[in-house]
Amino acid sequence: MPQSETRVSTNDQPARDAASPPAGRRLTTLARGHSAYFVGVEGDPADAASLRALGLRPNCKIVVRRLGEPSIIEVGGCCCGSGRRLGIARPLADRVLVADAPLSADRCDPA
Amino acid sequence: MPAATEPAPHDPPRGQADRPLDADARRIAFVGNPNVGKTTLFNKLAGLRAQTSNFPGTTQEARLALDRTGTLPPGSRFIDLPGTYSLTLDTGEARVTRGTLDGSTAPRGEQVEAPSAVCVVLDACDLPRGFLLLGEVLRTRLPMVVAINMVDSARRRGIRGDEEELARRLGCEVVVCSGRSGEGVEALRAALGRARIPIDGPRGSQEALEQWADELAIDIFAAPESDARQSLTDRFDRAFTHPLSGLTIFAAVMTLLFWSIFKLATYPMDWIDGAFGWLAGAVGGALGDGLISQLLADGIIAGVGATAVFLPQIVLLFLLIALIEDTGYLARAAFVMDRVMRPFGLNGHAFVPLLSSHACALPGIMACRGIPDRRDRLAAILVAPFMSCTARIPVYVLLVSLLFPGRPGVQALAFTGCYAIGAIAGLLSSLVIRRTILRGRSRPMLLELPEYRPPQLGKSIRLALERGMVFLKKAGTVILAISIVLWWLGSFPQGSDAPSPDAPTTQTAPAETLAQDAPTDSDDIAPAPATYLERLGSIAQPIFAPLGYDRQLTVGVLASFAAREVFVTTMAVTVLGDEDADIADEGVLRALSSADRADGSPLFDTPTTWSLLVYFILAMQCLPTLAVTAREAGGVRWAFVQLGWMSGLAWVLAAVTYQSLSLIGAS
Repeated sequence: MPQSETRVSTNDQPARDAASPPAGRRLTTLARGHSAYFVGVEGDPADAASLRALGLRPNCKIVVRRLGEPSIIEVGGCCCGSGRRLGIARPLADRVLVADAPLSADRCDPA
Repeated sequence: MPAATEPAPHDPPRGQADRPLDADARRIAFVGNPNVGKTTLFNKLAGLRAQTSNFPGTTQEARLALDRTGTLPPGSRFIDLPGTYSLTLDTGEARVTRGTLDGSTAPRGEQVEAPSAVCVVLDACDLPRGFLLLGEVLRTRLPMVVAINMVDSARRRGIRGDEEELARRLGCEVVVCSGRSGEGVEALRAALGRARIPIDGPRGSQEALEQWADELAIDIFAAPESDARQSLTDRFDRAFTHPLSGLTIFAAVMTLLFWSIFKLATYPMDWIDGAFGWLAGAVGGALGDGLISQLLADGIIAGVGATAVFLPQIVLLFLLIALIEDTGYLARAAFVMDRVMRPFGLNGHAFVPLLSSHACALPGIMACRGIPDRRDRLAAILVAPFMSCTARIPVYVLLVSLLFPGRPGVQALAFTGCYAIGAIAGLLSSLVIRRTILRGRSRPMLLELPEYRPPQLGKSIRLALERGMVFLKKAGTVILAISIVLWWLGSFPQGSDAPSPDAPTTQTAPAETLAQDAPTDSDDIAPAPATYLERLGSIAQPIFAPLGYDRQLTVGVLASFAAREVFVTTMAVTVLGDEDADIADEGVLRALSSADRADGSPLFDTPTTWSLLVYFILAMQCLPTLAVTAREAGGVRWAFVQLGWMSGLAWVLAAVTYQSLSLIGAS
């Protein structure tokens, strides 16, 4: 596996220190076409389990493809898959938290 | 990528890995996430010989096929299990997959025992997605082969997987292949013949399993970062999910779908209709006028033929839905419908179950298990039978053809309207349910949106033909039995003093009288009915008199409670039972259109035909559906709620339709 692919990040911000993970902000605050890293979901744990079953786990990079009803995100890059799209209804998208940089350096974006 | 990768040597657990498997025929189960191309790969391995079989007590299906290539031991069989994200989920797919792997269940026709090997199918473009399921299968300690499918697509997109490392980590063979192109398929078949027990799976909690899957993903998978630029997929997604254009496209697709069904199916329907007509005439001519001749011509051939004539439409419906689903559009349509359904207390998760209910309410209700929230699930179960199932198609076709003869465009529109009325009734019923017995808001929707791709015609045709065979089997068993019973009820007792079935009777009063004084006092006017069927119809007819139904139509409605399509069969047998020439010369549909009541008025006059259409769109006329509702909803009371609500609504609206049209003088 070419390591260079796993290290490349198109994110504008550099990866932060794993010891101080970035605070999450809401997915719906991102603009269309922007990317971020999945942190988690507020509220019902069943929603987190559903996202996990679909392969979305902390630190996965996501690109916002559509905002609104529904929001469409693309999960891709590194070890999180390649371009899988998930449709998320607006009430759930409002509760999805993302970060501008990876949460830790030992996952998809090894620093 | 190499075609196949041998595993690194490892210590075989419990000494079973070295056990030779070639001595016996293999039963190889195919397991994988949805949308990983598992069925395409299975078809490539199995050729055209696969059969569909359901699991006892469920509507979950598996596809079974014998390997005839000689690569595997004689008698070796493949079992294609339903796609599932995990074995631990509380869904029908997960349950039957789990049961098959632990040997507690098997598709009908298969021995109930654990398979001798498992083929775990992964998507080469998205390996990590399947690792949770892979870890769960590892825990079963069954001999295993991993198939990394759709490798051609992954190459095009620059996605890499380290299958050698994966094979080393798992201790089993890993084969890269493409079900579409056939690449690596024979290598996979050979590998399945050498399947061996892999390493011990990740033990411990769900978190431990997730951590194992994550680490595996980091170590063996690499994909380019997602491109943030706009793509063609973005443009399609925006168009298909837009509030206005999305809904417009959806309406256009559905209208085109049903128009195609009507237009294209006409010719084979005519051929089948003609063939059954000819057969009935030939049998009648050869055997003369006797009881056996009547049974064959009027009972069996007319009854089965009246249902079998709709086979082309059913095959075409399944074919077109399969083609649309294959393109990836259907998931986008689910979000369009989520927007429409949520105000009514349903969410987009219910879209696929409700769409499945258009084939049959049984799998639709079973599919409701995938709806996470209990109240959402119950609401979807209760309204699923409002969706127009294929059993209604023969009735719709008959009634729409009678209302708009020789106008296929209007027929298609009316047909779409029938589906729309059913769906609207379902939504409004859900609204009532969510504001009364199931209060609360629905859960927000989350769904994977598959990649857009050209549909696979061969796969879709195969699926449609398999569904058609299921329909034919039903026509050859249940419908055949009902046809014989109905013929007997409609023909006996014979030789009594009672008048014949064609004797003039007045089952319904004139429309204007009914509007004021329903039900009719028909039995004071008409002579006693001759046959058992007529007697049954006489007893129940007053209930349906406000809807415009005479004794014959009442019998048809009652008989169709077993299965809706039986209405057409009942009409063919009871109305045309003594009219061999009509069946032979004009065809069943045309003969029905010219049938009269005992008083000489048309049996299917306009108000009555509209009333019947409304009734069949809305009524709960299916005993198996009630049984499944009771089981899936967790209580018989839900089945009674469904029956009472649907049939009550159907009766009221059909009566309103009939009385209104009669008042304005429609004829």
